[in-house]
Amino acid sequence: MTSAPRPQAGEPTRRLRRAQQTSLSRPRQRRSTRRPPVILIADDTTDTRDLYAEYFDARGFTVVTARDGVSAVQAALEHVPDVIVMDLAMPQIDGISAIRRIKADARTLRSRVILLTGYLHRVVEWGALEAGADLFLTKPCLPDVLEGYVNRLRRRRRPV
Amino acid sequence: MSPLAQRIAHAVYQNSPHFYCFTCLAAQQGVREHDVRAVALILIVRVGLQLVRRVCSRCQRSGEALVPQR
Repeated sequence: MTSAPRPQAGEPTRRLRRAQQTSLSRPRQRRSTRRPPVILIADDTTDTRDLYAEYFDARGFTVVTARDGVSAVQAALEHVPDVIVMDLAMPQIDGISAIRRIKADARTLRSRVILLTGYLHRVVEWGALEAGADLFLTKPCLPDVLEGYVNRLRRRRRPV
Repeated sequence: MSPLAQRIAHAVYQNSPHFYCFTCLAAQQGVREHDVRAVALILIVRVGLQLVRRVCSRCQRSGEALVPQR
């Protein structure tokens, strides 16, 4: 009667090898076909921008940041983010004008946009929604709360 | 942390145990409300202030207010 050779010290057993192959290789294949979601954080306040960027980076997003309206539009056209978190009051052009430019371009027409602002006026909200923003949120918005809205927008069916 | 954030954090601790809504806190400090709201996130995450819904000690309206952590 012959028995299977016993594995040497440090050598994985057959069961362990099989477990490693099934548990490690499958998710990798799945991950490689799906790109991580891209988020653009446009805010002129460095602390806020860095905090959101740090958070979303840790949550597996590819993060792009912009510190003013013009660079937000440029970054949006270059990276075509899934979701854009746009501040209202920014240098050069404001958030609403930036959203208008982003929504006017065919490349970024389908990007979801959240306008995040400290202005609580109805007229700002209407202006943002009229410009093409998908959601209007007021500051302060905690990163995990913002992520909830971001994921909800990502799941929502895109208009054809 | 910006000078405004430091100033607002100081004011919140000074006002305690009274709670000021964002409008009244901004008026007390002579700044605009959206500027206070802009720095509030940093004060919550980095300084540990809490965002709660309370009746403002100044205007008596119910709204969001920053309070020191218990």
